[in-house]
Amino acid sequence: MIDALQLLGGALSVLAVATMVVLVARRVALSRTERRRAALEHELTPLALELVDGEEPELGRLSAAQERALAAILGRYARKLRGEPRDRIAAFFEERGAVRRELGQLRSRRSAKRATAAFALGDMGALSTVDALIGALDDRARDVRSAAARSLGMLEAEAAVPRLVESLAGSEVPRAIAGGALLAMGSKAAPGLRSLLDAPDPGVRANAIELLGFTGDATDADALDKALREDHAIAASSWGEHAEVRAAAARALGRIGTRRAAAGLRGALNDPAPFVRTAAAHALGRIGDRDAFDALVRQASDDMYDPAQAAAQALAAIDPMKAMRLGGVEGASAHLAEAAALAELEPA
Amino acid sequence: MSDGPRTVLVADDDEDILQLVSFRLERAGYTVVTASDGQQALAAAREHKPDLAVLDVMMPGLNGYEVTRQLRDDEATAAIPVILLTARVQEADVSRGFEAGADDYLRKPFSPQELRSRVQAILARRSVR
Repeated sequence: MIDALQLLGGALSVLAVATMVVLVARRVALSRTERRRAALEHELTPLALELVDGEEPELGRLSAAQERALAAILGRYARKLRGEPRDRIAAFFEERGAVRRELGQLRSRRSAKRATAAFALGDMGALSTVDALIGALDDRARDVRSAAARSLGMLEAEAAVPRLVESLAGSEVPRAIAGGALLAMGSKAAPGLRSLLDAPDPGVRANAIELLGFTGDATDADALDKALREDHAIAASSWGEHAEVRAAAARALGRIGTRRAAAGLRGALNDPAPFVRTAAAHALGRIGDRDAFDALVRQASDDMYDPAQAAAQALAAIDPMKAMRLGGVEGASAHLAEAAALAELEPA
Repeated sequence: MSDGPRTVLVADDDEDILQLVSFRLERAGYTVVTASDGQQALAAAREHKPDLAVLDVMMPGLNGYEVTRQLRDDEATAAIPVILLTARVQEADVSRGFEAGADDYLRKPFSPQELRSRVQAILARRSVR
């Protein structure tokens, strides 16, 4: 019995030592690989900078490791550049066959490989990959769809706007990624977003409107005003979705900052949905609409918590002196008092 | 201002941005001094008295707005033109940059050629004053 225990103890000790040796060896190997990678990147950085700058350096024959290191540097640079330098990076990857390889990987049976390829194609910056990436938004794996959305944003692919908004509305891609991709396109996304203002799905319309608030301009005021008046006498089952459209329109009008739709926003203070009234009050505060003052006083006095608080903030922004006078009166509602306190913080 | 090569201070916590901006400006004939955070940028500005500073907004320690403000508050560095380089694009951020005393603003992702043109334009305006 004692012999068996001694044998077991010995075996466990050997196993522990072997595990330690393996871990140390692995750590040494990883740190050696990292040092080698850093040295290669250091060696190839001047070449990458010349290439990006349009100097057509002599690349010669690169080893596989050098090719990988150069691709890594250029991929990182591509995320930070736009214009001709980025086009040069795309041309490099096209000429070296890397774009073709990644497009092939996009059809791999393994989702991890497809996602990696979709991600890499964004860094490569080749516009020829846009159709394939739009196709990848239909991939069964969420990681692949997310990587494709991020890459389409990097490529500023206007053609992808409608499909990206659908992905956003249908939660096929995380909101932050799909929204981030559309915002990354800036004003280039606006035409595609405008084309969705009449989309049959209210979720698509609401998301398009919300994003148009960031990428559109004053010329969108009339269309947003129309969305703000979207019929709320509709089936109860989709009441919330249609109210989301109106709330998104109010927020977008506030962000764009045009007074053109002020009358519509004042009307939205009477909307049956509290979150639409909240959004309308914030928007009126942002555009500084003095004509809305009395209606906002009523909202700050009588409405539910969120719309009343939004009205208080708007009052302080529109006319701080008047807000201070109203909120300072004895018996003023809690939110009118809040408006007065906020008004004191407003710059003179 | 000397007749020799103009000196540009470039401050960014992203090593790739430092490389890209430095390379383009050096190729255009400028001497480039780099810093990787706000404190280093202030120290370098006081030491080298650059002809212009390109500052990232989101730097560790002191951000680009704060560095710009401190440059403006110091008589020795108050006249250094500043270009802010940032990923932030909200109108309020642009206003904040100009309020802090920045002369120009460039959005990331950026074009090194455009940055060089803006550097040249600002320095040309300064030299005719």
